[in-house]
Amino acid sequence: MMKTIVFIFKSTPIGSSLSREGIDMALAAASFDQSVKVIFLGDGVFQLLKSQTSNEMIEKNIAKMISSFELFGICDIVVDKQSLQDRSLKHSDLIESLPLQISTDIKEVVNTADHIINF
Amino acid sequence: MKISLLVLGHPTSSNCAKTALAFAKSAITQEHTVHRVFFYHDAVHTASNFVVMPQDESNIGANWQQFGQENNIDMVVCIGSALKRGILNHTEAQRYNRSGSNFLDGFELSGLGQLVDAAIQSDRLITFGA
Repeated sequence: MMKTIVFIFKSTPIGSSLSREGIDMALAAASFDQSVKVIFLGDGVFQLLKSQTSNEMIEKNIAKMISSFELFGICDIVVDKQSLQDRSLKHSDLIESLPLQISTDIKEVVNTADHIINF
Repeated sequence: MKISLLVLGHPTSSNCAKTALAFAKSAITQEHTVHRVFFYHDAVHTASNFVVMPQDESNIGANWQQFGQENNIDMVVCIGSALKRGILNHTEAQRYNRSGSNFLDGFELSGLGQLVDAAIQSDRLITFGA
């Protein structure tokens, strides 16, 4: 059976492992053939910054993990426009290799969900 | 309704383990089915049997254990998250040559697939956040 699972990512990429664990779960759901949609909201938009690099402090590069979303079949990647503006970020600051939908109304995506999981 | 729970917060540093348990008990009282409870992120500590609480405070892991046994609830702890946080059952302790195991009976170590399966099988999946 296939369900639509919407993940809402609100955590910063570093400072807590929640961001990494949320992405692990989204990838797991996608590899079990569920319809996975992802929304980046609030501080979660920082996870999409293309300037992230790995070093001994930050072993896992969140941006690299997110870049593999399409490979796993996650194609609905929504970014809340207000969250970007509040943080003085532009679309051009974000990962380039992915189809990002900058949205002014994430409710549209949320309403398609069978389940919503917040990280 | 068939309900599954995803618990993320640490059992002592946050109250989400308590809230989730209260919710689960209420769901059962109102004759819903609790299909599975999946412990992820810091919530894996709920399954530690090394926890010692002061006399006037409750042991949330033991409370979940009792609830799970009384109501035959499938309580799954994410193995990836648990290993990283030092929560090991006997099998994993042997596998990785650790000095002991600290896993409460009634919980089960398994992978994220169990959470996805819970989402597929359940009418509602409720997250109790960190």
